[in-house]
Amino acid sequence: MTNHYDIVDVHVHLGASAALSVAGGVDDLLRKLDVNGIGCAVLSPIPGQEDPDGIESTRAVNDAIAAARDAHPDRFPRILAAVEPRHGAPALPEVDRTVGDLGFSGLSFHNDFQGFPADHPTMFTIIERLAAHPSAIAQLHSAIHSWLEAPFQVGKLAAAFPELRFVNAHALMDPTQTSYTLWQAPQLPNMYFDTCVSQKYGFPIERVVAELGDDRFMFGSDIPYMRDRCLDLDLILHADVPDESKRRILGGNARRLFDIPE
Amino acid sequence: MPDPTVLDVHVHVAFDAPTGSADSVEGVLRTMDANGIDTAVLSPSPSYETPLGVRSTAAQNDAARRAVDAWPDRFPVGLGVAEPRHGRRGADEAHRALTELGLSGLVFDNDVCGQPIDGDAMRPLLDAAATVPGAVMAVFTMAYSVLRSPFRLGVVARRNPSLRFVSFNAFMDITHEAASVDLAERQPNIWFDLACAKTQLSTVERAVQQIGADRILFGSAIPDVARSHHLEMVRVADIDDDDRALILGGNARRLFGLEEAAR
Repeated sequence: MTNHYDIVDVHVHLGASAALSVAGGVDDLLRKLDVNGIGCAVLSPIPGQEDPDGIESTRAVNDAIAAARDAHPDRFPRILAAVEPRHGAPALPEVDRTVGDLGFSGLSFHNDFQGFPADHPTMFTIIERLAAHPSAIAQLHSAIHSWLEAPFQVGKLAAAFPELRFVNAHALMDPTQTSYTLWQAPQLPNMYFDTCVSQKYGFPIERVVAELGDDRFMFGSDIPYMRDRCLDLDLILHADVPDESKRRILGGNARRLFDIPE
Repeated sequence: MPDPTVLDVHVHVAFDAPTGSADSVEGVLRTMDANGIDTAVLSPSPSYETPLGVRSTAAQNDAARRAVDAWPDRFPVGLGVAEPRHGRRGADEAHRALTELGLSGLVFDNDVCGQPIDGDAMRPLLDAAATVPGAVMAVFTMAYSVLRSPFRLGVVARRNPSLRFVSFNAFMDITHEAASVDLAERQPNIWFDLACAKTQLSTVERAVQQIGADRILFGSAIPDVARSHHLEMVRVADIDDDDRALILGGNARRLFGLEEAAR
C-alpha cells in the first residue's frame, strides 16, 4: 500500500497474548507495517503475556522489546515497557530499569488483562514512579464498558499527574466512548488519544477534528491484531478532514509527542 | 451465637495481609462470629500479588492448606488458586493444590487473572482439575464484565461436564440474575452463590422458583462485608424452611462431600 503521508503508528505490540491467542514476532510486525505503508512505530509488549516467573517474566518481555528497537531503530524508534500492577511494589524497579536505563519512552498498560483497575492504588504508585522520569509517557488502553479500564479511571490518573503525558488508547471504539472522549479531552490537556480500533461508522475522525482539533489524536494500528490490512488507517485516509489534519493524525502528532525526528 | 447449619461458600482470606486485619484469617473469623456464621469454605483472595509468578500462587495455596488445618471446625473446606497467565506451570500448580495439598477446588476471578473464563489459557488449568474427582471450580461472574461474562462460564461448563462449577456472585443485578437462570437451564453442573446479590425484587424466592433450591448456595463475601445482609436475605425469604436449610448449608455440604464424610 502506498500513499504520500508520513505515517507513524503509535500502537504496535510484540509478543504472544495468552488472553486473545494472538501473536506477532518482529518479522511479522515489519511485514504488516510494510503492507500498510507505515514508516515507523512505537512498539510495546502485547498485553496478557504469560508470566509464570512474575517480575522475571516481565523483564524478559521488556528485554525483547528493547532488542527489537536495537535491531530496527528506523522502524521502532520508540518503545514502551510493561509493568504489571499485580506484581505490587516489587515491580517498581522495572520502571527505572526500562525508562531510566534502557531508554524506553514510557509504560504501556491494558488493565483488562492485568487484573487491577486503572485507578487502583498500585497503579498510582507505578505512575508516580514513572512521573519521576522527565518526558515519560503512559499509554493506557481504555474501554467504555470495562470496569477495570473505563476512560474515567484513566482520566483519574491523568488528573493526578498533570505533568505526565498520557496516551488513551482505543479512545474511539464506539459512539459512547467517542462521546466520552470528546467530553474528557478538554479537561485533561496532558491526555492524547489514539485512533486504534475505532468505530467504522458515524464519522469519528470528522467528529474529533471538528470538536477538538487535530493535534491530540494519533494513528494506531493495533498490529498484529489483523491479518494484513489495517482498516483504521483507511478510516483516516478517507476521512473528510483537511489534508493537514490527516498529516498530523497520521504522523506529525506522534513525532512531536514521542520526539521522533523526521 | 453461631448457627451450626450455616456453611458459607464464599469467604476469602488475604494471606499477605497484616495479622489481625479484617482480611486476615483472624479477622475473617471475627467477622464470621459477628454474623453467626459457623463454618465456611475458605479461599485465598483472588487479588493477591504475583511478583514471583507461580511461586506466589503456590504460597497462597500452601497458606490456604495451613489455615484449613489450623481451624478445621471453622473451615471444613479449602479452595486454591491458579493463574492462566502462568501457562503449563500454572496447570501443574493447580494439580498440586488439588492433589498434594488436598484442596477441594479452585477459585477464579478472571478479571484479576486477566484472561477470559473460556479462553485458551484456562484450558490447561481446567484439564488438570478434571483429572481430580470431585473438584469444584468457583468462578466469579459479572453481567457486564469482558472476561467473566456469565455466558463464558456456560462455555467451560459445557466443555467440562465432569467438573462442578459454582458461579460466584451470580445475582448481582437483574441482568445477571437472568443470565444465571439461563445458565442453570442449560448446564446442570453449575451451582450459584448469593454473595453480593441484589437485595430487592425477591432474589432468593426467584432463584428457588427458577433454578431450584438445590443449586443455590449462601455466600457472604467476607471480608468484603462486615455485616452479611445476604444471610439475613436468606433467613427472611418467603421460601420453604427445607429449601432455606439447603441454601444455608445443605447444598454446600453435599457439593463438597461433607455429608459423605460425616457418615
